Amino acid sequence: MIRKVSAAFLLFAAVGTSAYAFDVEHALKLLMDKALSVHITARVTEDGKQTIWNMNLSEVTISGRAVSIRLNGSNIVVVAQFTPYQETGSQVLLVAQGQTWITSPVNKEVKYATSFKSLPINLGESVLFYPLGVNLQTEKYGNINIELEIQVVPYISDKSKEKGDTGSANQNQK
Amino acid sequence: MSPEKDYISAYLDGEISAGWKNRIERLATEDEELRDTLDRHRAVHETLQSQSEPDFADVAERSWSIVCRRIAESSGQTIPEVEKVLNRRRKPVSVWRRKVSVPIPVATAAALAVVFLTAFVLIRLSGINRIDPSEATVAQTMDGLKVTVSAKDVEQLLEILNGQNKVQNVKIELPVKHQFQMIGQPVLLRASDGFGSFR
Repeated sequence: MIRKVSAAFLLFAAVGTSAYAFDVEHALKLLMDKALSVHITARVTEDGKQTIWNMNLSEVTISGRAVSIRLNGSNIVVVAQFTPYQETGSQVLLVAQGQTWITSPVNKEVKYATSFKSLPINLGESVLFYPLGVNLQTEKYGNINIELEIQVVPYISDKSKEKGDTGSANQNQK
Repeated sequence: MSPEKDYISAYLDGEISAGWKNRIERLATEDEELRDTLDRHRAVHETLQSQSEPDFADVAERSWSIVCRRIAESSGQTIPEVEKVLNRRRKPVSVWRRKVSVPIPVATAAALAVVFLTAFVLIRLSGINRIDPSEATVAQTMDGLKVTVSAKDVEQLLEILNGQNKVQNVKIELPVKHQFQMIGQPVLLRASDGFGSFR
């Protein structure tokens, strides 16, 4: 009898809370509909023209969740965070945060630079981020520079993507 | 009257200790007055025991009629009206309608006891059906296992995920043969503007 009463009580409690609970499969579908894919191409360029090294990667994220990459070089560490904030329609506000630690081969001092940039873009539009900077007036890119190309597109769930990792990377060196 | 005589009624009703009983019986053989008293008390006792209990129902009914009549005379109502009102009041009150007054501390303690008892029973019952961790692992691998998430809508679900404050981190090793240096301020721009390798 006590068990029946308790079961009825628990059932009542479950019914009371079921209005705020839904199937995780349904939730994941809704989540995937709002998921974004961030494609990043990291390049090392020479004179700002010729690509001497590049690497592609893709990460799946959602609006407001950052994708962070860390570039480790012989005398440099760059940490860049790209956070897409989806606005109405195909509009996305891309926020780029960059931190750079670079050592000088001459006096061994460490320079630190940080930046916080944002740019409204359309889904699928490519943007470029130069953590080491460029001189836009003279278009001086330096002898060796780092260029990050970012593209935010809606995440499309297909079997080929489900088989692989949510993130993928390809590297090419010339 | 001697103290023994005070116990005569109790002696006849059998409500006296053995010591006093022996003492009274011994005194009665010696004291004639006490013996007479005992005999009179015994005779009255036996007479009362032999007679049946009088029936007071008739007396009660007659008294009730007198009461009703007097109330009717004083109030100006008829006797049936008075009897109707009084009979209504004479009906026994139901147990559920009977007012019970309980002190507040006692009522509070009783309420707390009920709450704790209910919680204890529920915890014990839920403990009976608790799954062993090893069984839980098996259960999660079973097909058709339903998992529910407490969230009002997908916006709240996203907030929950974002609240974890996790950032997807990817590490990339740059070619070691190149030495880098700062050129200017970090820049974020559209590729369609025709800069860099997009010229």
